[in-house]
Amino acid sequence: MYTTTMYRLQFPSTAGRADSRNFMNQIKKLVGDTYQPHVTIDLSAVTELTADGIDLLLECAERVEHADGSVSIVSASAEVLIILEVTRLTSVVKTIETEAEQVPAFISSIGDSTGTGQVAA
Amino acid sequence: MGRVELGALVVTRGNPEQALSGAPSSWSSTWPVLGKTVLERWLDRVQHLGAGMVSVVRSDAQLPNVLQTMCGWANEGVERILLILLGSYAEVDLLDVVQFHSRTQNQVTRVFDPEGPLGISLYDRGEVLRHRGGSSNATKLPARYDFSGYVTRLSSIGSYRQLVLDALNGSCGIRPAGSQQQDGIWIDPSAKVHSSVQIQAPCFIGRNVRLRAGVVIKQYCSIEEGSEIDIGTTIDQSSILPYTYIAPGLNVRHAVVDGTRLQHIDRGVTVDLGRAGLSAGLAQSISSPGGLSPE
Repeated sequence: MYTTTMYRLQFPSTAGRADSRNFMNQIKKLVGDTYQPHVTIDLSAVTELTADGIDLLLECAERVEHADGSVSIVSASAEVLIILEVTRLTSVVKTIETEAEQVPAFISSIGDSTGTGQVAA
Repeated sequence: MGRVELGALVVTRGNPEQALSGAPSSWSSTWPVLGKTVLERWLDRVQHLGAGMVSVVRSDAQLPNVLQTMCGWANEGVERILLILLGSYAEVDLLDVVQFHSRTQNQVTRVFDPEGPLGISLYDRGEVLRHRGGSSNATKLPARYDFSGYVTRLSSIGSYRQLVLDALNGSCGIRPAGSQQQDGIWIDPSAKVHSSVQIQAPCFIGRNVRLRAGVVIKQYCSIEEGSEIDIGTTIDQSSILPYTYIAPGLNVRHAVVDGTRLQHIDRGVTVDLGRAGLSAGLAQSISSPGGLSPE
């Protein structure tokens, strides 16, 4: 039996090298350990999305996608949302106002799988 | 100096409240609307009116400078002075205003539309000289010229876009520069448009614009002089201001982009695209064989 899990990760406020590496290590670990991970990325600490930040978000989305998972964005500022739209990242990741919105999509997705849902706090 | 019947003084100050507050949503009279700025369009009309003297005072000038210029002209014998405080695009028939002023024999005529004054006034020489002399004796009240034609006040990004839309729709007197390639698509002959580019009418592609492969220009877009849209980017209901570079693969919707600054029309949010490497300002004089390059 597989376990489908929701994760919540804080996106680094500045996509510096150390922060980015730490963030990607978390992504790699959960992708390796989890079947169809559902990752919610909290962008509340991000005031400005730089080129490095966009790259980091794309790499994260790519890895999770390869594990048949999904990525959602929560608490993005109006400015960051516009950058996500301009870069077409909104077609890759789902943007949600609150995590409560994530749950129905999550339940719907596990209904199509043979796994069991498990939500990580 | 010979006798000059009419002088015109244009003050480029935009919306006074926003100019003072520096509100990011305000727009400048130096922004072109389909190839020509509102200021240039006013100057064309003033010159067409036959003004013997025309001067443009920059927005940072103080009011005394304006009065000084007007008094100087009056001293030199200019009979009438048309003062335009550039806060709107208004298709006022200036000749009719001058004739109305003569007919009513007032010292001052001010132009209004239903929303209020348009910042257009016509002064007699005597009135200006009286003002210079510091006389507080009231002359006749200013005559009011009521105008009910097309007006857009230069108040916000939304009003700028409305003017662009009205011009593209033919709802006002502005005609896009360049030639109409297809119905509703104006492309300047100097623009370089890749054969794969998709363009939807109505829209405007200005002088020396470069649209690279796979670009999509949707309805109601204006791409102003010297801008470059890189491979695969879609521009939708937006205005790209002069000498702006937009990076590949982007989707710009409902926005005005000026160099690195994107102003979203619906949300009233301004974003710096430069930090994310998504846009740049271009040097105005660069014209290399390989095309324009970001600064």
